[in-house]
Amino acid sequence: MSLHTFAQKVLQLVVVLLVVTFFSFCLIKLIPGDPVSKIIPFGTNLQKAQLRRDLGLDTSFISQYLTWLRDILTGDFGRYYNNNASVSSQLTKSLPVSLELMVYAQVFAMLFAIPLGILTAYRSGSKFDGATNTIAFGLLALPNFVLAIILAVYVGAKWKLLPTQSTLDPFPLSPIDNWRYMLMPTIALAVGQIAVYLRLLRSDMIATLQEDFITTAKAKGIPNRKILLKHALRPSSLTLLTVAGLNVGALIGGAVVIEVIFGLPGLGYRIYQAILAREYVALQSYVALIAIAYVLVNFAVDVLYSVLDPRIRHVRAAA
Amino acid sequence: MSLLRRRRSTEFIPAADRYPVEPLAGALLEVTDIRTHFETSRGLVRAVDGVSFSLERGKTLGIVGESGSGKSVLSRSVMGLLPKNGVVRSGSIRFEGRDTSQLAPDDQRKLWGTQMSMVFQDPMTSLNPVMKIGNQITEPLLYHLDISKSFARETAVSLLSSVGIPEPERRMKQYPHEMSGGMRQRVMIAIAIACGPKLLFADEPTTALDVTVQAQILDLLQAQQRERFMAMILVTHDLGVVAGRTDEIAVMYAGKIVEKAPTRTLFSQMRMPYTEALMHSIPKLSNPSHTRLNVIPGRPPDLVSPPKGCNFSPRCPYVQDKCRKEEPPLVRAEAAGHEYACWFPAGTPQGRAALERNVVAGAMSGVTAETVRVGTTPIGGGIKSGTTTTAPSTEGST
Repeated sequence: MSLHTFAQKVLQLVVVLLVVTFFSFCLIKLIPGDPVSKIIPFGTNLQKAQLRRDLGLDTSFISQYLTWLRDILTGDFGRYYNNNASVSSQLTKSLPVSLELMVYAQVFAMLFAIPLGILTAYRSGSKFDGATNTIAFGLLALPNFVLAIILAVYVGAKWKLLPTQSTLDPFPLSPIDNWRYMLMPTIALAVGQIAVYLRLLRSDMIATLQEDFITTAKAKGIPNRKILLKHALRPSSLTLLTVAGLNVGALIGGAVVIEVIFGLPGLGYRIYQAILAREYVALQSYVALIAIAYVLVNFAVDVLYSVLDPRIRHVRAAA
Repeated sequence: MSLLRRRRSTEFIPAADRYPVEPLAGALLEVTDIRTHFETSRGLVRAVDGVSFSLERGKTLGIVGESGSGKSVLSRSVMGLLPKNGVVRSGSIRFEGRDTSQLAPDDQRKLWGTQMSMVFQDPMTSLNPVMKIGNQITEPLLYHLDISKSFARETAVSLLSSVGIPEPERRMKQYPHEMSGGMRQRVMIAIAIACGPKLLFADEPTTALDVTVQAQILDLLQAQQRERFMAMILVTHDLGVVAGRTDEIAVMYAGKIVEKAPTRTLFSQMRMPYTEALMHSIPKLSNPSHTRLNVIPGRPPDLVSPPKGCNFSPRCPYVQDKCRKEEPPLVRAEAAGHEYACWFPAGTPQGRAALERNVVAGAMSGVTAETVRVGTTPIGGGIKSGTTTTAPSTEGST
């Protein structure tokens, strides 16, 4: 990665962030309701006007956005209106929970999708392939919140195997407790991904297995297991990597419904609360953070491409 | 050579295992009546339909034919590289006296790389694009031979230099895309000969290469083959490629061998009109520039439903009614080791008579004029000079 391409990427990042934060700011403004009447529902009009002035809500739409932008550039994520808690302190507690859930869900999905993808590609057209694909499609058609509720009702409430509500502060850090709270949300999030990853890897792998260099590897006399893992997997994993990268971003902030169902105090849960409470500043900061994560992860995926495929490295060096 | 010495001194592979004394008697490879048919939605594709040949140690067999004549499928069938599903096969393949067509997949795999290996047509796609050259060469070495990583590396470097790659140490760390087509084909050859196979298949090794590189690669193959005493099966569509480099040539058409002879005999006494047509489709340097290329009219037959009688009959300038009804068997010619399948062979009185009849008929009807024209002008001269001048001298020369 040359300095030039790096600078280009950074510039891209800045533009993307400006666009994302501005539009999310607009969207939040469109939500009906008013933070002031949320904070002092029974205040007089004078008190409300006073508070509005204090919060800067009487200034123009653009200047509110710019004020927020200036603050965030200096590292100030703002404060909650109603209890004056700083957003960043809330963030340091909730972000690890969301990241943890994201990593677990990705690892869990990959753990199933990669071996199954390789096997179904290798045995494509077989009964095993057909059965796996049917099940995968079935799971894909099942929305994650439905699965989450089924899990919560049966595993959690009826059989009492795992806890369903975990809005704990601090979130349990001992490994076993942590796992007990994380397992169901992880499964709920990962199951749909397994189907997606499996299908992606399978189709790329089938294409790779038709390649001439696979025949070359075969003619060398090395066993099929080695051909699949050493020769076919790497060139087949680019699409999988792209989609997994996009999912990282989606899972950090997009696990809102799952976090709410299981009461996980992650970022998604905080966003949900902030929306209900019209916490413009907090919400705006969370959205910006997720956007940054999105862009950074995709940047990392871009770099990983060239690690996986040396031809990309070559083209970039030439360009 | 240095490779051989090092191997002996370190005794990684006992010489007796590697070069068994006893089974040297007899042919290295004996293929009898093999058939490879593919099951498709249109029906059974008879890609290889009853082919027999044998190959001695250290000898070279050229397999020549147009695209779709089944020559590549033949070489893959013999090696056993074709997938198991949807392929119907029969016949026997004896390698060093052992029937390899009946081997379990794992046992068959053990032959690949160590006993037989293959150089493929397109070096641009035959090397793994995401693996370093060095790893691709050491991979079979490390898997098949019980040697250390560093020794495998050294071996790979000397293999690279023996196939004519400059700066082999640096090339080891490169990826295929950093090399030219000719270089990549050299790497392919290095991989194929790495474990010292006894039989090398070269499946159109120069078709995808620049003309200027073709001769180099063919020379390299020949040199390696001689040096390592490998038998080689050279598959090509270009008679010119095999001319000076093979001991024997088999011409394939529609999945069958239609003519087979020691190289010199074939060029001097070709009997099968198809061989003749292939011969005349080679452009000659002595021709004035802008001379039209001779092409074989029509196209190879549909292998799902091949024509009745001789497969070549729809395109043959010598064709007679008999050819359209009965399939000619492979018969022996007068020269040793020469066989052909034709009712009216070129260069014989019957052939000449058949051709003349067609010229007359063609002039009258005008329908087959195209076929006849191509058949008469260039081929007519070829027959006479070939048969009369060189025929006696080829006896015993091969």
